[in-house]
Amino acid sequence: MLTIENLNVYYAKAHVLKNITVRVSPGEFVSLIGPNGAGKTTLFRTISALKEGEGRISFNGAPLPRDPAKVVQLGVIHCPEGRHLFPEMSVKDNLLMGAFRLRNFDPASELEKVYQLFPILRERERQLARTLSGGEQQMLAIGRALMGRPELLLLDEPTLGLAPIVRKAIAEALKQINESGVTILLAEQNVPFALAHAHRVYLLETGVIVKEGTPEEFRADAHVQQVYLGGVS
Amino acid sequence: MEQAFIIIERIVIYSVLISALYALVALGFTMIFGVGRVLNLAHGAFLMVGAYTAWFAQQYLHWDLYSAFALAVVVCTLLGVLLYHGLVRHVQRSPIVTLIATLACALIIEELIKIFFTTNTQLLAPFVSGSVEIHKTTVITNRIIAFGASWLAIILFWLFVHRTRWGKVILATAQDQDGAALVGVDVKRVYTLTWALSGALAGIAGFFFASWVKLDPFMWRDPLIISFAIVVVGGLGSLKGSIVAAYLIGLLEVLMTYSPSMRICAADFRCFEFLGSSWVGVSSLLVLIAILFLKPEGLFGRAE
Repeated sequence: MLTIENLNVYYAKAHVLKNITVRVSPGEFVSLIGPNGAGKTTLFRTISALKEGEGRISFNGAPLPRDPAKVVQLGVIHCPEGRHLFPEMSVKDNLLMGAFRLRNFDPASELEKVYQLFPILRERERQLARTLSGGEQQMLAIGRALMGRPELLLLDEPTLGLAPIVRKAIAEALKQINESGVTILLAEQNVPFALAHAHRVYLLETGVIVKEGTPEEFRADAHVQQVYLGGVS
Repeated sequence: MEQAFIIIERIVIYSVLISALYALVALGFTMIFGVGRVLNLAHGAFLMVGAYTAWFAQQYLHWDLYSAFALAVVVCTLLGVLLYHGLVRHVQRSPIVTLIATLACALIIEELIKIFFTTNTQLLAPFVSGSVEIHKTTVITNRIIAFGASWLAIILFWLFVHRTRWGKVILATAQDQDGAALVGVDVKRVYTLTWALSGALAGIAGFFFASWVKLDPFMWRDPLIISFAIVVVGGLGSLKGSIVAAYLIGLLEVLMTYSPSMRICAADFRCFEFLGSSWVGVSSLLVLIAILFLKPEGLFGRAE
């Protein structure tokens, strides 16, 4: 589905992503873990064409266009770190904006799918996005991404700064989304969360993929245990 | 006592009329800032191009006023798109360079108008000539037309932004450019549309502004200062704020016209007026400075 080969990305002269190779197959839930500043967000921004990069990124066998609107058109939807909601628009309008590129869609049934996943958004339908709590905003950001009918959902740090109970609700929602057939690539600093539902995991450190494996292999890895799981096996 | 009521009535009527035009003048300016975070210092020059286009079509092509008006709007729309694609798009990342570049454009337009039309003042024929009496106040009929047209343009613009798909796309892009790109909005296309709309609004405003004042190559400065003051006072990017600020500044200017002036003379007999009609232009700038001190984000703006 998504193939990234030898991707290099620079900020001015800083070489922030070095020869990245990542593969995501249809239906998979793949997690990308790594510390703050490792380059996870840059990788996601490059996939969705918000950032230029050197190398090959292909989706379903064809090169991914270097235009964010065309990337969305293909079904690669990025739910970014910081959410990037439209703060002065209502919850409903934010969700409908998520379906901006769709033709011949029934807004009511698409909204219903999101409301079933996150019932609190139905209650907040008329509220402005900026008035929601952090957890509700994150649910809205994921809901907005789902409104675009993603084939591949890129989720960047969805649990950042959220309470454990909200993290649990989001984890449950991601599991359901993946089971419904949506492929997920998740970037997370919260490693236990990232390993919980993933089929495969990549570890990104200082712009380099240093490890790839199953969640079980990661849990058994001494370096991962020491640095990312607080020494707990 | 009756005289005082007549003056109050005049202040109210004149400020209501001029403020609507000021709101229209600032509308394109606030939209460009709201969506692209660009302070377009060529906005006043756009108005001037609109005014001169209508005058030229009337004077030299012998077009009727309606066709001249339509031409002014079309020319300003194209000018907006041309300025965006020819210049602003390439320098937009640097606010300082954008400011200088758009100011340079305004000065180039001023020089071109001097070359082609000289510095002589010109008059644009009004839609309707004559005047009407509103109670005990005489009002030039064309100014009532300008008032109505300004409000019509503002209401149509508001409906476009809040009730149409592309209007909502403009709103979304104004609130979060990356967010808009990530739902599939072609942000460059939105910018093009915004500059085209801003140009069209400047064309409409320029036409009516010119029918209020005279045409000359320096006429772009007042609308630019008015737009700048209105947009800062109302809150950068806020349509509601711009309208409220337009009425505040319009009222202050008319009040200043009717305020008694004090003549202060130095020992060498050089005198200057304090307050009164010669201070009209100063009042909006004083409000601007006061707002910058008291509420820098403007009356309806949000701190970024």
